[in-house]
Amino acid sequence: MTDSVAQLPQNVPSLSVARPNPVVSNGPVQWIRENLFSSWLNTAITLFIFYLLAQALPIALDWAILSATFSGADRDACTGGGACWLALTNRFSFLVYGFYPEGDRWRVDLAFVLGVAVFPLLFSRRIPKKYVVVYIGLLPLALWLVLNGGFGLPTVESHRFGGFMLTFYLAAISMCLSLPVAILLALGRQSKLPIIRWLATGYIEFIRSVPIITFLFMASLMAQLFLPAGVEVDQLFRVIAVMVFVSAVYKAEIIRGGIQGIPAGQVEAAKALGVGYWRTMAYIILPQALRNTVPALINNFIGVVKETSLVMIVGLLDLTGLAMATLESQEWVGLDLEVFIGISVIFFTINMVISRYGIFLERNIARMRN
Amino acid sequence: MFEAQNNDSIIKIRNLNKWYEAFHVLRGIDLDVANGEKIVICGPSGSGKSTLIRTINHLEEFQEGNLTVDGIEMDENLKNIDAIRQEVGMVFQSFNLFPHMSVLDNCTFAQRHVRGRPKAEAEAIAMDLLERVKIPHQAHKYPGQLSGGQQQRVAIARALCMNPKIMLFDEPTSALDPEMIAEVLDVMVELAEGGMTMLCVTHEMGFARKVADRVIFMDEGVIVEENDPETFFNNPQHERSKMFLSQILGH
Repeated sequence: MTDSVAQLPQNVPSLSVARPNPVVSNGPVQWIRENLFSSWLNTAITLFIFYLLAQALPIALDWAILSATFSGADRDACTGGGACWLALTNRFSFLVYGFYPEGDRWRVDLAFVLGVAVFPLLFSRRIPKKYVVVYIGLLPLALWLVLNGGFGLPTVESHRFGGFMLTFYLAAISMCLSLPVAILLALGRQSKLPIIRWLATGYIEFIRSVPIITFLFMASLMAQLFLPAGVEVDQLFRVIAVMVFVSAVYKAEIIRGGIQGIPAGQVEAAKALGVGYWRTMAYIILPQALRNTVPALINNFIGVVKETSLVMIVGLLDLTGLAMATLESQEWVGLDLEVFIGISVIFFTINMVISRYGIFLERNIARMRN
Repeated sequence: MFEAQNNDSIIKIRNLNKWYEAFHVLRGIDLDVANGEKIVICGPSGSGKSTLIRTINHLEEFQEGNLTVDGIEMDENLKNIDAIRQEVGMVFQSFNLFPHMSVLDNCTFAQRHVRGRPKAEAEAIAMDLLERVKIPHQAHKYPGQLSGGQQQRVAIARALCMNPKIMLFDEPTSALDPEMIAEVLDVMVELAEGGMTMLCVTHEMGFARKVADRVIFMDEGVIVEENDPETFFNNPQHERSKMFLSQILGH
């Protein structure tokens, strides 16, 4: 490389010889010694924890798998003394598809495929980001058409939605739609135009001061009072609107923090080049602000996935709601442990994927910085 | 204070006044810059020198006076501000490259989005200018991977990509390690020799002697003295200029 104007001549002798780092540590034995048995106290703690695991793991394993019952006609088949997973396995399709008409369940499967396809797109380095953004932007509409009907597909009424598909539907749509709303709110709150700033600030302050449950109740019970007679807005639609417009407020504050963290010089450089406000925001400020807020935004997305369970209280039966209903049925009453473990595993899996995506993003960003 | 220039002045500033809240930062500035002229502005910190050049592309607003750039009157009309900004390039003390874009994208972004040039044309222009600032090999790196001197040269190339008629430099070497100052000044000297109209806020007196047509000394928001560099450095007229020069050249 000869790109520096003021460069040393090539033949200046080096002052010293570089040596390799003398501390070399690798291999599992080395790792175990350094991390588990580095001192008397650490050795004692390690051995104590191993002892506890040795006591607990066989019992848990026996209950959950070895003595458990996975198949059978009804509860009487649970004779092993371990977990009775029948409440989940026998009602599997009910928990997944809710009350969706059986002949149309391929539409739910298609919706799952459309939703899950986001992840390979997000993880890919080859596909241009533009297409990923367009895909995610169109996803809510696609899900709505596939699941609710339209373009030749028969309409399925939203009260038939339930179980995992409802959880998925609510989470996917509110994640996709709340981010753009949040960006507009964050920009509005930073706007130089007082009226826009006041509106955005007032909206954010009001919404985040009131529990989301309140808005869910209002949307499901009171909205009808304010609409003209004869006009009816779908219950599910109202609930989705609440989730989008409430969760957007928290994201807006996260994004605003990210925008404020960008040095003023970035906006000045863009201005000096003659770049207008919207392009400066879209291409210069927001990409940096969103990158800096990845951990907080991922945290919020995970929160939104879990918040979908709140729709239960306005009568929509998501995965948690159907599970509770299962436990109330005569046949499966008392199997709380098994059912809630099952639901926890499902939520854990979803949120784990989101969390891993966050870590992947952070690593990518760190790589780009160096 | 100033000598009235002929009518081909590209920048005309008349009785410019600016306040930050109660602080009167620019006090009745009059300045004409001829096409192709190189001006070095110096002065103690807080004298308003950066503020003055930042008003020229409306990074700072002013409350009183007139400012005309290339025949366009600076007012609150956004169209005029945009039109002026397209004629004026700026280089900042802290480089202000876009860290999430490669060097090449930094140079093509405004060309494509403001000038509306097609990608291939914008990239050809960018590569040509990166060649001129002697860093074509770094085009696909990110700013964070470059040294300060290299980043500042990219920043100069980025501004030049827009084909500005005027270049503003706001202490372009103040944030650099000493061994990198020369490589940036070399590029600026070359640019000056090419005939660009330049206003530089800098304390690099060697650079001022070499390229400046005029040195302007500011203090407390006023142009205290303006002169050709030889007279200014060898025979400063004003007590304040003398003191300032003795401070920066004294040791």
